Amino acid sequence: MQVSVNNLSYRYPHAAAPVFDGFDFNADAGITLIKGFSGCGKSTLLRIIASLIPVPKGTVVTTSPHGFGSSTFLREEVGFVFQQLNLLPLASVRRNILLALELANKPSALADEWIQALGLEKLQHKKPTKLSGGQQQRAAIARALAKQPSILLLDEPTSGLDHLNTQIITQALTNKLPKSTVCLIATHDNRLDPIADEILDFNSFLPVEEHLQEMV
Amino acid sequence: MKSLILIPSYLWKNTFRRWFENPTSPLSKILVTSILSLLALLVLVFFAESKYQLQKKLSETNSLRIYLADRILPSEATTQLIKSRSEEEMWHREFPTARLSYFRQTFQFVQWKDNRAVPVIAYSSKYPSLSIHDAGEAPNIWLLSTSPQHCSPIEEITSDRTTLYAKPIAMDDDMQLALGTSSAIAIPEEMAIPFFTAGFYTHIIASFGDIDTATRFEAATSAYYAAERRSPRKFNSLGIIAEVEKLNQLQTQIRIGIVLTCGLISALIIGAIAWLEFRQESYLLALLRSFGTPRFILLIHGLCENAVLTGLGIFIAFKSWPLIYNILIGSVNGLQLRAAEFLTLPQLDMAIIIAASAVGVLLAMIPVAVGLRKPAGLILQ
Repeated sequence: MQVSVNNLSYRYPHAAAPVFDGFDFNADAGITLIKGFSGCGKSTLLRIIASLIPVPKGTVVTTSPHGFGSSTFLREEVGFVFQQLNLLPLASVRRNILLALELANKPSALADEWIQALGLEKLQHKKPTKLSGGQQQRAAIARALAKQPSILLLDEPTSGLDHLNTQIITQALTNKLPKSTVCLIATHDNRLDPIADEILDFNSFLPVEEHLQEMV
Repeated sequence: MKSLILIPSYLWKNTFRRWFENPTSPLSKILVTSILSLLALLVLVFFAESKYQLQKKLSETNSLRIYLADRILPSEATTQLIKSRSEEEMWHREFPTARLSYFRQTFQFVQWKDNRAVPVIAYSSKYPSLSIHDAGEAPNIWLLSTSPQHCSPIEEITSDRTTLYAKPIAMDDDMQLALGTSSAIAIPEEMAIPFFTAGFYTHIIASFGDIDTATRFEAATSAYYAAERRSPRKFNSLGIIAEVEKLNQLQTQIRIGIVLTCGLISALIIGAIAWLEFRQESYLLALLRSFGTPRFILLIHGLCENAVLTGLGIFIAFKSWPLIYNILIGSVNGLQLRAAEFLTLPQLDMAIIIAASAVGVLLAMIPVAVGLRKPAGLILQ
């Protein structure tokens, strides 16, 4: 799988300045970390690549056989872990994963594999409200990874996690992620640097807001 | 596809939780629909019952009659005489169940008893009560009178040219109403032909067993004579048929009005509640869309949710209208309508209530459909 972003320009509704203005980016299979200051557009880029935000100017091209932005593309090709995790509150961990698998037309047996990989065996029948933050994070990642997406997008997956949970997640990404998957991780966490094949640092080419610079 | 079961089952689980936590929302939708349906039902039932009472009155007073009197001038007398005979055949063919009586009235008057001028009518075999005569004898000349008992067995009738002798016979109510007199001379049509050249009236007395045939006859004769550019005098004894026709037209307008009004009101109210609920649930719906759930599944779920609640409201209205109806007709003196136990709700009216609610539910989904167009990525954090 390959993802190419060409001449992307995007401004949030009612925003004064654009988030992207003629931005180009290519991602090959492997893990790419996207780093940058808060508000620079890391999460926005992930959402645009996931086709959760329509792009008025510019293109996103993938090698997926499914049309970019279609329901099938979202169901079968994209795995997204949101910053707020966004597990379905009325469904158990297992059912959250099974739902994603069924939507992606993948066998239900994969749920057990990923529940084991993320250490969720004892938690699989619990609802998300009964889990700690770290446990919810692992459940959300299991849900995204279980359907074996071609494009895996993680928004701050280890934010606020302890070392053990972070290690479980990094090991799952390193050992279980298919080699052909394009994995983009928006993060501030330097603990993920060792697993990255590439690092895209927005700090190097985007101007930091003046008032933030003055505070440093 | 199992996803078509999993997603809706999760959505329904979420819906029931929402209803349990905030019952005012579903109860409001049920209440609005049941009140609107009840009001509409009461109006429709009242119309149906009023129509029934009018038709019953028509049947009881045996007043399902239509009278036609077509004036034929001398210039067209010959052609119309031939044509009128074929018209008689035509009406008999078109309305075989109706009792149709025909006679012609000349423009002549003759003198009877103290120079009283009486009209002359000509009868044929199509007026059975006058056509009877003894075998071997010529058809009779009748003196039609509302009080034949005061007449001699044979009455002398004089005209400019001749003297006739007529047998008295009672004049029936229909003929009296058609002619507007209490006496007339009836001669066989063969005798009257020379008089027809000076012009004549063609009278048709039509009696019906049901309002629908009477209404059809009314419409058919109006259309026929309009095409012939003739304007016969037409009347029925009580004018109730016209009232029923007016009621029919009003009923149609009321039915259309109910569909539009009830549909619009329920669309506005249910739509407003649905929009508020959608705003509460927009995060969940955006999340499901981020999994690749097609929008139409989410829209159909919303539609089904509203359809279930409005269906419940209609059910309550259908079950409770007899009680409310009986209370209403019992509280208004003078209304001689049947109690609800004797009424059968017309299927068309039931369909109208359901159609109005369906219109409301569909229109109520418009704001939700618009809301679903917002990109999921702008909602999710």
